[in-house]
Amino acid sequence: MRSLLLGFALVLATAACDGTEDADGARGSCASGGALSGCADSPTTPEGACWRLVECGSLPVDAAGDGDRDWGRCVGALEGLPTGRAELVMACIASSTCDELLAPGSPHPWEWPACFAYGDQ
Amino acid sequence: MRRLTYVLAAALAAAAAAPALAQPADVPTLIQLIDKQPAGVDRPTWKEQRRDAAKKLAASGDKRAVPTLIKLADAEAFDVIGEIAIEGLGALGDKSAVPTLEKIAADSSRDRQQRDLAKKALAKLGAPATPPPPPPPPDDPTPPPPPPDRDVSPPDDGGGTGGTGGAIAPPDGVPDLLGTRTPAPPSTDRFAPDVLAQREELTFAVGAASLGYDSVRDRTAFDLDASGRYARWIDRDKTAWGAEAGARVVAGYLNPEGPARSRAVIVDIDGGGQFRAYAGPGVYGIGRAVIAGQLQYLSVIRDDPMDAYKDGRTAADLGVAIGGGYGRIIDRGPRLRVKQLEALLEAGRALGRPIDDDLAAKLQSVWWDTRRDRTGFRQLTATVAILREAGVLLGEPDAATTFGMIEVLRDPSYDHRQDGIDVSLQIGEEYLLREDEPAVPEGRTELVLVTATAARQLGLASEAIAHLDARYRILADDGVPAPWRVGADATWRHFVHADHGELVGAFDVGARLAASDDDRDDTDLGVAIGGTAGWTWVFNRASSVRAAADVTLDAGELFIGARITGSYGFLDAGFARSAQ
Repeated sequence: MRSLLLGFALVLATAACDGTEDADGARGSCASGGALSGCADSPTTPEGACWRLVECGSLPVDAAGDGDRDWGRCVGALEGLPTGRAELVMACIASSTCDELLAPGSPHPWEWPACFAYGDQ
Repeated sequence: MRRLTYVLAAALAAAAAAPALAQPADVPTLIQLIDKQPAGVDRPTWKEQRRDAAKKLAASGDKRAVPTLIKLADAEAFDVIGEIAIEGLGALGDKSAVPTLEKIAADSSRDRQQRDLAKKALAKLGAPATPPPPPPPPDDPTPPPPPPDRDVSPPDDGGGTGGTGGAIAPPDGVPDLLGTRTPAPPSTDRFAPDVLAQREELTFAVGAASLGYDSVRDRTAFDLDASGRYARWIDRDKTAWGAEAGARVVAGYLNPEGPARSRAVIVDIDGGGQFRAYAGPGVYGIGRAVIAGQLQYLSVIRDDPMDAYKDGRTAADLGVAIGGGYGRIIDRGPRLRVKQLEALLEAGRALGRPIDDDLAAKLQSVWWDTRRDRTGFRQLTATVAILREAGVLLGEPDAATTFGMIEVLRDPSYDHRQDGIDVSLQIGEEYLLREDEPAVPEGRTELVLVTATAARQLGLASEAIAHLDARYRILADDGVPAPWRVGADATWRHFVHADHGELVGAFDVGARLAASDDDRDDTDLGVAIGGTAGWTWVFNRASSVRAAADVTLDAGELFIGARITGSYGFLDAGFARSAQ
């Protein structure tokens, strides 16, 4: 059991960012394909919505470059929106299929996914 | 002389008593008393009066009492009135009682004493205890009439072909337990014998709904996020099928002062079905189909009318999958509810005999029939009637037992109590329509899906459930990635009840593990591990609020968070043949 945990920790460490590359994160059960794979709704919170984007391969967990789009900046972007707008964006993310959540350049995008247009004033 | 006086006195007493027992004019009154509960008489008193009336009918020597006694002998298997009627039929000497008495004598499910009494009554009538074989059809072209008390009408719906019993409600026009009339007697044979489990759910959730106006900015705003889902599932011996459909609407409207305004609408609709055919012990073939559609519309008009933005997007998925698997997951919750009812009666020293699977099916059938009732009145009264009739509930329930029964009947901890092992391998084909911006993959996609679930009910108050899922894209064109993903999670849940059986909530602890690869050069292997602990407050059979703490380690990054989720439901009902 101990060696199993050690091995798993090694895998995690390997998978973790080495400081020069993006840490992409693990994908969800519906990250590829359509409705057949099944995909539970994500929580309509900034954190939950941004996790869904990571699980769908739209964003990395942690981008190597300063200012690159990743989970943390996604949360910050949603938290910066007015309340009503943020709810729309999060609901859009929660109800969209994974491929619709891909943005230009995903999984290391240079734009936000289309759902962020709902935050437009 | 003294002896002669005694004899005369006895003769006078007998002469005085005889008319009281055999008075012909009393027979219709006695029959009426047996058939209908008099107004102003409570149920226990009426039951005593019925027994007395049956005794008088048995001793009356009046043939008009025979049909009523036949009915009592046949139907009252768990009340002493049935034995009174059997003996009475022997005493009255009417041959029309022979078929009923023969049936009782040969019915191994009847109490031994009743069977013995039926044999004695048959002997008095000069008939053998074993019924003769039925005559061949040509000799008897007219079918025999049904027993006088049996409901020969077919079940009203729902595939109840098994016939585990008649309607449990009192005869038409008879006040039920609490003195009011039961408008539509629930069925006690809703489920065919091959039905192992059945579920039906209808849930609505509103994530947010607000309408506001502020005079500072002269701005009107509206937001809505609402969804609903219906699901139904039936497990039979050789097959299983289920279907579900859901819809979600997200809408927003913002109208500040001036020409600027924005509108957004997202509509999701999805549906799917699954069919399983079991070929052997646990081995099955499976077919699935899903369909989903989405419409998104966004309109933003800024102060400068030329700076307007409008976008409409549609998407549709159509997928089918075939495969095979082993095992099945049964929702044992409804049967566990029966077990809890049994435990409640035992604790209250009101349990006459254990509740077997047949009786449990009757109870669940009634619960199923009353699942759409807004209140639990019919459910409770029917449950009491069944338990009393079956000799399970000894006497009328007292206040504590009645309260406990109400709590058990509406306790949501007995919903969704999965049990069993299920492993499946499916090959799926999907067609994705994505004709809008941004450009995303569309067209055909083939994939292999593996799912596994192991669920175990650890008594009445705890459960452990583990899931595994895996997917891998196959038959991808050259240069097109073939991603894969494996995930597993496990949850232990414990339900907490208060002193009198009220459900307080549930505590749960879970762990999850996932690994994936996008099959792209610019991404790495993804590995995540996480855990969660939560507490759920339960408000009714389908509504709850859960507060949980989550810890996730994903790609080397640690995340700690908390969340509160809630849902409100209208309907959640099920059936399970067995608790094991």
